[in-house]
Amino acid sequence: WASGAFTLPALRQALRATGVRSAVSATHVRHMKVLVGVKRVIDYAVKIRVKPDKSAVETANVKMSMNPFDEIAVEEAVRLKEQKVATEVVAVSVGPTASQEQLRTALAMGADRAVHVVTDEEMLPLNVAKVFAALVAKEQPSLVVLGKQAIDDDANQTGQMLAALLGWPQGAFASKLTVADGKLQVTREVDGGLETLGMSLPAIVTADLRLNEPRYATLPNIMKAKKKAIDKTTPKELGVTMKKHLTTLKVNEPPTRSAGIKVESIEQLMDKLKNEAKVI
Amino acid sequence: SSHHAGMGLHPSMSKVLGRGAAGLLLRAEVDSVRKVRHSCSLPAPLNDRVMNQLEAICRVSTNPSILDRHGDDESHHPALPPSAVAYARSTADVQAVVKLCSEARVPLIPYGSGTSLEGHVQATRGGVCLDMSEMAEVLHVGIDDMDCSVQAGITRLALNTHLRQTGLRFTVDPGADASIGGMVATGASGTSAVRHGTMRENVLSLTAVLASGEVIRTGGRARKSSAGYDLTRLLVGSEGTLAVVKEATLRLHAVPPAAAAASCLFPTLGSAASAVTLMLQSSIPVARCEVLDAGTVAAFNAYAKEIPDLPVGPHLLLEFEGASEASVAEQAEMARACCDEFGGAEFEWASSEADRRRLWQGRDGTDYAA
Repeated sequence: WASGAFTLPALRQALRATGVRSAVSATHVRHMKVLVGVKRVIDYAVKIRVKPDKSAVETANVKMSMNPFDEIAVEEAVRLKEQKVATEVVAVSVGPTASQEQLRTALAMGADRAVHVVTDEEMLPLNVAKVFAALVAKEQPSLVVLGKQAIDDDANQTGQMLAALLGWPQGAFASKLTVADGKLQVTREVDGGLETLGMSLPAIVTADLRLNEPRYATLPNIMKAKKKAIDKTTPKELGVTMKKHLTTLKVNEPPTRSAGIKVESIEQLMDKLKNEAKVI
Repeated sequence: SSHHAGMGLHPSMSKVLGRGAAGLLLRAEVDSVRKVRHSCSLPAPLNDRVMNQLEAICRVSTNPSILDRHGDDESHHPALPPSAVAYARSTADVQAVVKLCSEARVPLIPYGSGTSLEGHVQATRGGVCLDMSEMAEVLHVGIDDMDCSVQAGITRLALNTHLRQTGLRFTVDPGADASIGGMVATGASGTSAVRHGTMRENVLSLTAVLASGEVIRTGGRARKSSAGYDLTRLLVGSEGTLAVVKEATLRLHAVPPAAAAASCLFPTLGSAASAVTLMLQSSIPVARCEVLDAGTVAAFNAYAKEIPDLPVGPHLLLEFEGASEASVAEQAEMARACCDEFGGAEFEWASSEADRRRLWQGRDGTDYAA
């Protein structure tokens, strides 16, 4: 790892060499480590403003929080530990120095320790997935739980890309999760309804809204969290180059809503729906 | 309120009824009159000079639907729309609108979320409705001081969402997601009044705009300050008759490490009340308390689908908080004994956060259910 360029084939070979998959499958029952990803994003209640130069969204002096789907992911991992299914929960964040706050929140919710991969680079999903893959090789978890998507880019890619990089099964948009006898049952919310998949561990799961309702932090837990360990590292130390393969050209606010109107009769309503709004 | 007077209830009873179960009981019994929606003839529009000056200060709307919405709350009183709605964005806006209305002798009604229950926003004489909902920032949170400063337009749920990772919360919980300014103006209460008090006990200081346009600040952040007129408490509950509240400093409480919610069926409402009295006399620190009569329980069951039905009959809903699971379990068991004293049955309790939240959300929706 220290030496070479990080490439997908190299990773696969390395993982096969360490026998990560089979080793974990054998030991998952006794020692199930869960890795949870958390991302620092603009708080969901904030009114988003676009910078005057239209290069990006305004983040200066704006309240930042843990991505809501990541809160759900952390909650699920902590519940697995409370149910004595998981033995250790490790929170991971890839991001700038301030991401530490989100790791402290995860620790206050019940994670045992955290890993902070410090970078100021843009968080492109493929790069983040590569970082997680490198961490998986180091930490050897049985389960990785991520939020289904981040509310800033709405990409919904990292979990799936990570599963592909590792060659692990994935249960995305999970609304229910059960672990029994080293197997995972995931109920997924899909367009047609609910789909239940069975898969062996280790696996990737991405959390959807109805998976659980995250707990509120309590002050005693926030205090305890300050004493828990946060290990720092960088993408470079993990052998990952945060290659910029996407460039944002422009960011625009959505068009302003025009005022509603009141109509005098059904005929007028039908006329407007047909000829102006063109919805019938 | 005239409606209740017409039904033979003393006017002061209206204030007491509020959103609690007792209010629902009496309202369900006497209020057989459906809410009448007049096809409102709009009030006289403001004269051009006033309108122009108002539009120069901030965004104004005279759209009939918007006027109707702003002249209506969640009571049975018919909507009485104002002549115009002005949306304040800053202290300067509030001051300018107040001064303008003062000079022009135009009625002014501050508006938060329109969830009041006694016709608080109905514009009986037209005028300007000052919508404060765009002034909804959290200005400061003091973790160690356990207080926060907010603009009046923020709602209580939005405030608690903002605080969700701090370990602190704002405890006053009227059923609706009311604005803080509105809660100050009406002296709002809720299920947690039994332990944490109502708005009167949880407002540390206020910044308000008087009719002259002058901005005053009452109280301070300290828990105990000097002697003198308690202007904060004068403004709390003053229903917009003295000033426009634009900022409030609120007392926060810790999110408890352990909590449990319980429900218990009683033969009569009186026995439920006696059980609570006994609990308080026994120094059981009941954290939240609500009573539901049989009719309300039926409505609760029909409306709150995601909670298993409660057996129909007078019910007590309780919540206990403590520093540890053991402490909470002890409180719950002692409360069970008090309920047994008065014929309580089917004492159920739940400690998971999700179950407790669902139970209380069901209670918050009881007004709509009934």
